[in-house]
Amino acid sequence: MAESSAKTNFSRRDFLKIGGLAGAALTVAGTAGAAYVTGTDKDTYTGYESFEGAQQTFPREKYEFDGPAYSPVKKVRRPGRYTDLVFMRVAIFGEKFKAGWKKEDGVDALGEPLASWYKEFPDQLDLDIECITKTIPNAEKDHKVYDDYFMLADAYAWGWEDIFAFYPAEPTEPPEISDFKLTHNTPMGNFDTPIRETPRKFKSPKHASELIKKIAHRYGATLVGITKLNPDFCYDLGLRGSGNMGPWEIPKHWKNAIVVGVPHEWEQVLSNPAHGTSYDGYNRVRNVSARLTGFLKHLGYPSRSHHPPYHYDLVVPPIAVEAGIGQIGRHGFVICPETGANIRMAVITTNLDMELDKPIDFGVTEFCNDCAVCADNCPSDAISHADSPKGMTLRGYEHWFIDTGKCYNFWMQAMGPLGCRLCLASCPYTRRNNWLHNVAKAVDINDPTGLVNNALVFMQKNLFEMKKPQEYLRPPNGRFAGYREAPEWLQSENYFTGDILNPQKGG
Amino acid sequence: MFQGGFFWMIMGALFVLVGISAPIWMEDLKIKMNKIRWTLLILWFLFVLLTVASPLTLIAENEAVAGFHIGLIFLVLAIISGVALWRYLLTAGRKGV
Repeated sequence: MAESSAKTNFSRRDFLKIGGLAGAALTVAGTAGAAYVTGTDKDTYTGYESFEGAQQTFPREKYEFDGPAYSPVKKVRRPGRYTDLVFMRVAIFGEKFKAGWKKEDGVDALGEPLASWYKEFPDQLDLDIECITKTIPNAEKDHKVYDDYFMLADAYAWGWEDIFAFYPAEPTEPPEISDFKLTHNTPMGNFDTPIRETPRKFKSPKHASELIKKIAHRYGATLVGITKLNPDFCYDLGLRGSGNMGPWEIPKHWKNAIVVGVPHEWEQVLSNPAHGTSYDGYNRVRNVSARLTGFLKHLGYPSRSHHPPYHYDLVVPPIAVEAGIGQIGRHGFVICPETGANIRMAVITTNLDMELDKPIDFGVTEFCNDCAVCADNCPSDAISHADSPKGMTLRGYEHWFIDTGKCYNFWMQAMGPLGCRLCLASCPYTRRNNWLHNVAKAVDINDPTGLVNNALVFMQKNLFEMKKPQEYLRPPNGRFAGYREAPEWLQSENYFTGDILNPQKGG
Repeated sequence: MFQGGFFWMIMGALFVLVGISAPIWMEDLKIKMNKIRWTLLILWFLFVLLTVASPLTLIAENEAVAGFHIGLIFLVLAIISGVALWRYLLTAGRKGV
């Protein structure tokens, strides 16, 4: 016994004592760590949790590459405001249709720019005719039957968006004049004052970009990026405020583009297309953009805000890609490391010299090549199932793009707040900022073999709920399904009296 | 209640307690542990935590189907690997290899 005791010379009591001491030390260390985290945690900024930019957490420098992200592979043409932009195209085409245009008259009878565009994309003509003659009339009937069910979601959406017509004020003069003016909205009317004649000079472009990002986050931007404005991504016709629908030259003071982005509310976004809305993101990002434009003008830098829903002189996604916000996904949305495809963006064009961001590559193209969950879900078959974007060329650039005519035919069919956004919701990158998805993203991005990529796609397709695309269509073929059940605070049945016909139950 | 510094401080203390009691258990069960066995045991314990945490996070974020599927797969794997590890520890550990 004495020999054994001498051999171990370390009793359980001693062990527990040391363990207790270690436990105490760890508790102290834990307290220190927790106290530090609590002190720096942006969630402690009551009322400003989402206004502090804490969400732009991805280490972009690690994944940067020297741009440009897009290089032309064919002859480039600028995007058509009245043609490529499906909302404008169908609206103009609808007017022509109502005025008596018939398919037998031929596309030349539609006049320019529609005639040339339909010759370039002949498949789109039948889709746009279908939209005017079937989709929109059917939707009008469906709204009468089902609006009660979607009333709460509609009210929520429009509550966000009712201000869009007057804030920020749409320019009524060309950029060479309006960008150099500050508009003050007052109860007595709107007053314009010119911006400072001499802009306040920054110590360096780096100081300028750092300050702009800090201010943008405080104005509500979740993500901010800065790039040189590529004229190829500016619309061809109808410059806002110019008073005409003709072609225009890029203003000389539109040197750089600041991209700001915010996500949609995370509970409603998964209930797209039925209960979701674009308007929360639109509203928030428009406010950020308007505030930042005002900030720049107050410092003496002419600026213009390009923001949702349709107050743009440019297309945002390629500019956001150049600014390092994210990469283009199969569905044509920008996929960001922090929010996935759940991002709504605005752009401020200005002449302020800033340090530019670089585009990033965090593996989205490879993931999208394997994934196609958005294409599998899409009820209008608007998203390509191709193995890669190779050979997919639009306006001279090679990248993923969707069939806008097909998309819009479902977009107009969907009930609830306007539009679809199903591809945005179903994108595997569109995930909340929690440990589970952060671990999956971190492992995937650091795996050179692609095995994790394949495993995640397999899990998404086989373990997650996948509805048949037809379920999203109107009855009787579909049931106006949502990607996921709507949050309880968007379900009319939970709050309103009376019989409410629920198409999502089917049958 | 389940987040914030105080919660994780308590969690840390609990981990310490687990760390203290584990060797005593092994001692009482006459299982001789080495680095490999401890590593296997810790990895299995972490996997059990993952088995509980993954489905609950998914269910909480409105992905119940995925939560159920992933929880079921992880549970089966945790049981199989747990039984295998236990048998290994009982046999190899008691031989004192």
